[in-house]
Amino acid sequence: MILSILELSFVVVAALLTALNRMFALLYMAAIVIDVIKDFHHDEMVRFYRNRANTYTLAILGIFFSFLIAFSKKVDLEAMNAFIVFGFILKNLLSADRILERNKLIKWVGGIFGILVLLFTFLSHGFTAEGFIESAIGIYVLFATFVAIRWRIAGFTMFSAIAGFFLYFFIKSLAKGVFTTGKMGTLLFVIFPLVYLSVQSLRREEKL
Amino acid sequence: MKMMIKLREIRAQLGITQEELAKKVGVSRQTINYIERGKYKPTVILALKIAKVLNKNVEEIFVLEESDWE
Repeated sequence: MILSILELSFVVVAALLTALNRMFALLYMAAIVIDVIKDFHHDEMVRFYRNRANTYTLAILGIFFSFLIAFSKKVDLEAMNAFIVFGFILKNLLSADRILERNKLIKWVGGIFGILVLLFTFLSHGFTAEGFIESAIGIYVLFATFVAIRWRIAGFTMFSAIAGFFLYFFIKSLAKGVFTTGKMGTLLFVIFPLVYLSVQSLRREEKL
Repeated sequence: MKMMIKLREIRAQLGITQEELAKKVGVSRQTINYIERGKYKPTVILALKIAKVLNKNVEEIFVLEESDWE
C-alpha cells in the first residue's frame, strides 16, 4: 500500500549516494520494480486508488517540473533526483490517503518523515551543536505526529504552524531571486509533507 | 453516482461477516467495507462474485437510482 521500508530504503540510499556517484541512481530501479510487483498482489480497490494516484502524480509532476524547466536557471542532477523521489512519495501518499485509516496513515507518514529529517540532519551536520539545533525540527514532527493521532485539531495546528513557518521563508526567499533546486527541495520534501499531514490530521477516524 | 447498495443489510440477514465475504470473493475486508459505505463501486466481475456468494441477483444488492441517469 504505502511505500514499504525496503522500497523507501532504496529511494533514500539512491538519493543520498547519487551525489557521490551517479551510478547509484540505478538503485531507484529496485524500488520501481518492487512497486510494480506489489501491484499484482493488491485487490481491485487498492489497484483502482493506486491507478488514480498515478494519474494525479503525473499531472502534478508535469505541472511542477515544467515550471522548473521554464523558470530555473539550470536543471541539474538534484532536480532529476527530486523528480523520481517526489514521484514515489506523491504517488504513495495520494493512494494511502484513501487506503489507510487516519491514525495509521499519520503514524506512518509522520513517523517516517520525522525520522528522515533527523537522519538527514545528522548526516549533513554530524553530532555538532548545529546538528542538535536542526534536529529540533525532526523531534517536533515526531511529537506533532504523536499529538495528531490523539487530537485532531491540536495535530492540525502543530503541523500547520511548522508548514506555515517554512512556507513564509520559502515565499520570502522566492521573492528575492530565481527558483533554485534548493528551494524546490524545501517545497517538495518539507512543506508538502507537512501540509499533507496537517490535512490528514483534520480527517475524522473511520473504522475501516 | 449514487447507486444504492444493500450489501450490508443482505450480509447481516445471512449472518456473514465482512471478513468471510471478503475471503470468498478474494478481496480485502476493507474493500467490502468501502463498497458497503458506497465509497467504492466494484467492477462487474466483483459485483457478480458477491451476488453469487450471497445467492442473490446483482440488482438486489446494487440498485440504480433515478439520479444515476442524470
